[in-house]
Amino acid sequence: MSEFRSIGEPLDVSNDDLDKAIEEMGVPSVVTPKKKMSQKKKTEAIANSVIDDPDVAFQVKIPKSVRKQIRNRAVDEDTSARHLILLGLQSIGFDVSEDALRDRRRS
Amino acid sequence: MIGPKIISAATSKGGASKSTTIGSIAGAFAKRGASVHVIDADPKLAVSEWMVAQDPKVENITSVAVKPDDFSDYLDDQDFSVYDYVLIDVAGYNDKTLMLAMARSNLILVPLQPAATDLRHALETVKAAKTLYKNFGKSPLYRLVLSNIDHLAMQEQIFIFKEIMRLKLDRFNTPLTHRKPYKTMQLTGYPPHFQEQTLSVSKAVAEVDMLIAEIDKLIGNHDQRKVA
Repeated sequence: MSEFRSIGEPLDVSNDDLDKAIEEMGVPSVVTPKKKMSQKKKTEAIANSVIDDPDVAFQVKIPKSVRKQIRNRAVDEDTSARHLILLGLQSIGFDVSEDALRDRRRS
Repeated sequence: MIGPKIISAATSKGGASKSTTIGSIAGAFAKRGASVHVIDADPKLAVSEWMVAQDPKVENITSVAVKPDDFSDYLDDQDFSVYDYVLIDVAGYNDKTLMLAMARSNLILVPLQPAATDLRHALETVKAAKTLYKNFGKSPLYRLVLSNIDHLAMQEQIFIFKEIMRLKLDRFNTPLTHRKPYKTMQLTGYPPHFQEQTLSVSKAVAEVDMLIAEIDKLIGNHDQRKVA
């Protein structure tokens, strides 16, 4: 057995390179399916949030260490980064409705 | 700082004893004082549920359930330097999470029970790991772990052993045999090393110790690494 094989080093390559290699191998990516919502709830949700106050994309650059903290907290509290950020904004006086605070992944 | 050794249990077949293997070796590492972190990326959440069931908790083992969608980010962002071992359990199907776990591991354990289906999936998993590593000019360190082996050598069991030899697959010499303590772990959450001592538990502990001795030979003992 060669020395290399006895060491057992993981692949030290970027996520992008790894993703590309995995994609080229034709390996599927399992994505958590969204829970089906009843038609009544769907209508209410649309009426309450999407039409009146729809979610929009808003991209900012933040320090990597802060992003790491957000993700760790989200994992610890089983919630989303979006929820934590909106909670923080609400705490410093921004007008964020309770409906907007709702974790969208659970709807 | 000496980083942890990352070990994943990977095969595209469900019910091949991935979680049992991870849970058992986590207990063995913890028993000898190593700090162990278990990442449960299997949506079935078997290992993390076992950890939750422990009352009182086993010291030295922490666990976290990570959704497949968040797995890559979790590996990137988490500080693993405080652990001696990071053990990854993934779902029993061929997907990106399985590939990522294998890519980031020092050692890939490929558990299989003595059945032709398990062997086929194990073979496919090993091939996938080799292909992935080959893309970057490297070779994965993997070992098959035979589990749920019956004390009586049935025909299919003999066939599987012969096939593993014929296919020249690397495997650990120590199998995990069909024993009650592994089933007990699924109920109480305690790995064999932390169960009440009985003859059956002693035998399970002995074979898991033999298995991690083989793992030590491949990737080193955590105490030796600290001294080094």
